[in-house]
Amino acid sequence: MKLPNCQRGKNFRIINLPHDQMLSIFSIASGSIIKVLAKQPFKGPVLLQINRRKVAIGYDIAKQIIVEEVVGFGLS
Amino acid sequence: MVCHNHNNTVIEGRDHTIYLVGSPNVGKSVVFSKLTGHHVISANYSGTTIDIMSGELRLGAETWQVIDLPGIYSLNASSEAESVTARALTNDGVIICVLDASHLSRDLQLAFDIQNYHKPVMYLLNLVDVAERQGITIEEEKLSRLLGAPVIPTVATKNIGIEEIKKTIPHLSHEASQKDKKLRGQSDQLIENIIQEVESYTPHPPAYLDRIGDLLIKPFPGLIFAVLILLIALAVVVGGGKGLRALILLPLINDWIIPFITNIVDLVVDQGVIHRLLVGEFGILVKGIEWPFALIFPYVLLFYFVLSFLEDSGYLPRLAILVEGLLSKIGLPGQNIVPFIMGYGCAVPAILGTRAATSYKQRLIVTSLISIGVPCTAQTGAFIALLGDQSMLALGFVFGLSILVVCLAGILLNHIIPGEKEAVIIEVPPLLLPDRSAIFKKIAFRLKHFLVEAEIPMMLGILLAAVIVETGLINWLGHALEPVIVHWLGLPKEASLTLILGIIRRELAVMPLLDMQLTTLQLITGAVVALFYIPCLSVFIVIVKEFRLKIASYLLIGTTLFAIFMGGIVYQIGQWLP
Repeated sequence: MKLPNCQRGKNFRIINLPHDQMLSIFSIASGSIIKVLAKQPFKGPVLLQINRRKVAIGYDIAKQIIVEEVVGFGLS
Repeated sequence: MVCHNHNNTVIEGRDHTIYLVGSPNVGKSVVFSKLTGHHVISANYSGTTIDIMSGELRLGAETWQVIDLPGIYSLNASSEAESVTARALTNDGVIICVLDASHLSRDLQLAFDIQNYHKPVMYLLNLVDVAERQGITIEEEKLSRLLGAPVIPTVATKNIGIEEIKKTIPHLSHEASQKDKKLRGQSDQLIENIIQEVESYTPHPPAYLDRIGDLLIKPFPGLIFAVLILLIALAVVVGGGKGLRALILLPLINDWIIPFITNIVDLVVDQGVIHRLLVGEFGILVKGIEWPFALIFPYVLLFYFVLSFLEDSGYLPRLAILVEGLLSKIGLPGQNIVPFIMGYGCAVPAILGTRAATSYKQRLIVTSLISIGVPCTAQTGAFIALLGDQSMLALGFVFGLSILVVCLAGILLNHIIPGEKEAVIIEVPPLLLPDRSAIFKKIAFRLKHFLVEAEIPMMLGILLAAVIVETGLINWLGHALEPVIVHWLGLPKEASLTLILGIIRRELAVMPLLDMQLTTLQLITGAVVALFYIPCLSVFIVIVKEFRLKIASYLLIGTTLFAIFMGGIVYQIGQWLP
């Protein structure tokens, strides 16, 4: 599933993502667990939480990030 | 004390040099201000520091040079900011590495990278208050042992820990920083181990500020709040400015100060050219005081009050994220939105602000849009003075037109300027209640800057106007520009003055219209010309410096033609309307 198609409020594991230094700085990497907090209108950024940090990822990168839903994983 | 900004130049290190290093928005500039006593502009979002700043710190008999480097996440030299920092660190000196206590895991990589430079180093654990609010506690003694260097918890904005830093600096030595050699060449695993060792996290319900911060960034209710916040900001600036002007400044200046000055000049100077230059129609002692202080100042003051508050609260990046989807379609994606908003204050810091994290294409678009159709706060004040009393509808029309043109120009430029779309990744800063003294300092700094930057050119502009009018040059000018000014724009001949003065400053393209007894249509036409007319002289110089003369000349010619074209269209259409 592509990141912009994810339901907000749920947790996801990243399966595949483009190479970008900024992503790795925020420890957004293959295998990381993220929570989708909000999706902004008009193909705006996807706001996600990783660890305790909130990061907005622009639509163009977000659609290249492939994730799968994680059930029963507590990321507050 | 000296304070220079080195424009990406190599910094010469001395033994007594302190380098401030840290990730973006961690508070390096605040620490710098507190150590050196210099005010530098800081804000609650990434990339505020675009130039390397240096200042001095006196510790006993010794003087240390403190250098504030731009924020970086690592030292891979993959961006301009990172290579600048990496280059600077090859010189002699000591390093103060500022870490974010609320995001320690992110900053530890940088903390390690720093150690590769084999310099005496100390770490600041800044923002411990934010960390605490989020339920994070860090054992700084343990961290200090693991990093082999002093670690000082700080809340720089509140002066907490600053004295401790000053006490520690003289005792920094090479040995301390090299103690833990096994830490070199670390991996993510090592960072994780350290975090587990030193950090404890007690999940607890988010503090009310964090909850508000989260609400502000969700489309609902975030967008509703965004509209409300912008309306409040507008009401404070426009309404408050009009109040200040009408109730305090105009009576004070027109009834007391100017009559007083006129009386003195009457006593000292005989009637004649000099007398008229001083206190005549464009007397520098009359208009030079009335225009900047009574008409412009109140709006500048209130605009910077609102802007400084929004900056330090961390709201601006939230707003940028909310509207990014829409604004990316007019060529303003992600990181450019905040500099663009700053353009409504002054174009100079806005254009410099685009340096932080954007491509050439994006910088060019933001710069062009600001030059074409974004009025600076001084010009906004002039518009309110010109139109606000006649008709609020006219004022609304001019600003509506400004937004429309900026959007269309953005779409167009986004299509024709070659270049890649850039990746948008924005970290959301915590929502903070801005510190009152920091806000006041910031406003004072900006006002001082405005008075120095604006008052002298404005005086010169008014002097130029006085000379043009008194020598009769105005008749020649009016005659020469008659086809444009009178026939195409429908303005009186004397309005040709605005085109000359407008080169110096944006608001000077508006002010001379005030005393010309114009009709509402003429006022709107004049305002439209001024709005799209060339950016002021200082903006032109900045564009030349940042983009080369060619681009600056295109903008100069383009905006001039466009301004006259648009003004004429408005007049010609307006004539046919009832």
